[in-house]
Amino acid sequence: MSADLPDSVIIQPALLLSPRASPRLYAASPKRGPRTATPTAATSAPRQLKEQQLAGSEPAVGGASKGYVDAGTQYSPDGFPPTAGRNVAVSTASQLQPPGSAGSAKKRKESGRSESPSRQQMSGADEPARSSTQAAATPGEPDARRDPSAVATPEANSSARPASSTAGLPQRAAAPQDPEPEEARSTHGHSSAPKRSRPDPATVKQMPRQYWTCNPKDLGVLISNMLMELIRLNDRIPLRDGRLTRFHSRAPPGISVQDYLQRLIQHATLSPPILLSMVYYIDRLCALYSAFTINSLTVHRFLITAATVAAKGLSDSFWTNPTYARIGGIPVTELATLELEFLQKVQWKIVPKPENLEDYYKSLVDRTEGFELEPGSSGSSSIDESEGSGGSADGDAGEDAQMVDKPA
Amino acid sequence: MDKRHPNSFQQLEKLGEGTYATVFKGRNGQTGAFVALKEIHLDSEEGTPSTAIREISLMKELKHTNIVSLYDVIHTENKLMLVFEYMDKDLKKYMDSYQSPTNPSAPRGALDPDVIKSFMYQLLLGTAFCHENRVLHRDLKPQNLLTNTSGQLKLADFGLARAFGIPVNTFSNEVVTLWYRAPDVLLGSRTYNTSIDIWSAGCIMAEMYTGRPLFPGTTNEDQLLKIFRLMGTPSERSWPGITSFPEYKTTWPVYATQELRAILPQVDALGIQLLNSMLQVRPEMRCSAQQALAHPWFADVYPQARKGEALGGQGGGFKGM
Repeated sequence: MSADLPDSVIIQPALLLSPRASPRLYAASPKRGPRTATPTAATSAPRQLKEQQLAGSEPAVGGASKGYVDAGTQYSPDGFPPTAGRNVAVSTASQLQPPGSAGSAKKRKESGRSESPSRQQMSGADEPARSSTQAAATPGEPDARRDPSAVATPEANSSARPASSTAGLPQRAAAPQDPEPEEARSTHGHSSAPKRSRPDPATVKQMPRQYWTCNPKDLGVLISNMLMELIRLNDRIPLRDGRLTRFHSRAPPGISVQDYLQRLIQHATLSPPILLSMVYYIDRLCALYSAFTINSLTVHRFLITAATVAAKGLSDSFWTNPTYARIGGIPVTELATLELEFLQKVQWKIVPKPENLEDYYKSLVDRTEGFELEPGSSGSSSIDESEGSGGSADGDAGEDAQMVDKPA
Repeated sequence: MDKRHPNSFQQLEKLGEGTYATVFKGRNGQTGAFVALKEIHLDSEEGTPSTAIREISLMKELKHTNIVSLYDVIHTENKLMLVFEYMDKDLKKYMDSYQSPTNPSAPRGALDPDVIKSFMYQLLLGTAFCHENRVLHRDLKPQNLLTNTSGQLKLADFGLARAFGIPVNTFSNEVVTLWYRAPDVLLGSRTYNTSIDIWSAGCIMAEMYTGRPLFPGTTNEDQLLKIFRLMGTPSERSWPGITSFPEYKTTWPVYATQELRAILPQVDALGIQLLNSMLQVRPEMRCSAQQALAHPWFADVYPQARKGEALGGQGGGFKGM
């Protein structure tokens, strides 16, 4: 394992894709994931994005002229004003609407495969995809979360590959590319930016005012949307010497941000407060660690590290590091290194202010096409009301024998 | 951040050993000042222990005269070293070694009333500061309260603490050392709040008077019964909702409420009043740290102890007592 560490600056080439790591993830998931939420909609539908994602993110890089960053965050690269807008990403939600139907998923998966350029990480990406099919078959039971997620999933799909209303285009565009982001930055113009905003009032999803009661998977959609915007912007910036961090992969992992985050949410049972804390950590880490940005090389390692730190630091129920490592697809030794690196870079200050989380939530909902806060008086932030709310995954997790409860 | 090398601290004798750390006395090589060095072993499986993550992240935010200062975090290959303000001994050791000079007939371990008042005031100041900053300590007990020769008392060991401002639902039920654990936690509550620290503070106050723990239970159940024997067995009438707690038992013996005054004759009337409001079995009836600090019992507390209030989080303050 320690062999993974020496080149931790240029971390293992897309370890997520390595055949030995990926099946473990899924092999573990049926019994570890206390929830079997949306096995078909959430697990299998985003799955086929793996192929598309790789391609989709890269042309999207070029399409970033419409990009924006949130005023409340500090991740805007030089030259980009921290403006906010709603005209982002989701777009094709309506087209994909048949919610997470097996048919559409399968179709896209096939198209992804057939069109996928035969690159190493592509073929690697098939591995988790296949095994997740099996995994999804096991837990099998659709549950109460299915509906919200099913709505969310198409949104997710479209946001994860925002530029690709016609699936072939971005992939072809990506095909000649090298995995290195420089090329993505330079070669792709604004190929498909116009497609990105297509509001459809019929599909507007209402999010509860109290963020801790929202469905974590919905919040995951909002966050991956925002992350994709960031990645589009930041991938345009050349990777300069000295700006490599431990969070960098050598090549973009073959699993989409959307897919990866949904996987963490499901298998690591991330609750809305933990998810929003992870968003807070983006700002904190970027502010205190100038070499770090969220881009297609760093986002995965950032997410698994942030999830681990947030759960261990803020929640009374959390998984062990080996479990997080398995879910995240990195060696446990690397997770230990990343975790400590992260804590040091943020100067160990990992407790967000409650009102900040509220702001992040509102801003995420506000910026994302197809989502809005439910009408009504603004929610009180009393934590007393959080008890018994359905939104948190912690409660489910707490029943699992493998959870780490705080010792006395 | 910390660029200081661990070798800039001379490691002296071991002060204590916890579940996840060993504490040494240390001396700063440059200044000669004493520090407490808490060594945390880093395991590549476990990563950074959650206790360390909490302790460091919370103590970095909690700067107060009555909370032990975390000066530095130093990372070496396989361990973290937390550099803390040095304190002479914890309250447990302080009590164990104390024999009242003014009252030789007092039992060993029982402190003098003026000192108790000063310690209680400082304990509550530190606790109030935690609560104002939305942190539950969750392990207040004499071993985790540190004293120095200047008569200061400071909260330490935040390894079980957690921030409660963020609505992360799950609250662990396995918190607080048994003897200082509030009845609602013993009953299985996962929705407890700052009042559990107040219960602990009440237990500590009684213990400072007698030199012995107030409720030295052996098991969760025994702990509850020891509490009920003194405070009375609660019922749905005295505590609406009690029957829905996970650990509620219909088989509890029905004890009548005792007078604290009878158990603790050495405590003056105002002190009993304060103690009573901290040791309420029902969490919502317990006073807050701020309310306790405003109690008339503290009207004549040592001015040095009170000074902590004026100084807020500025540090320093006491000039001996």
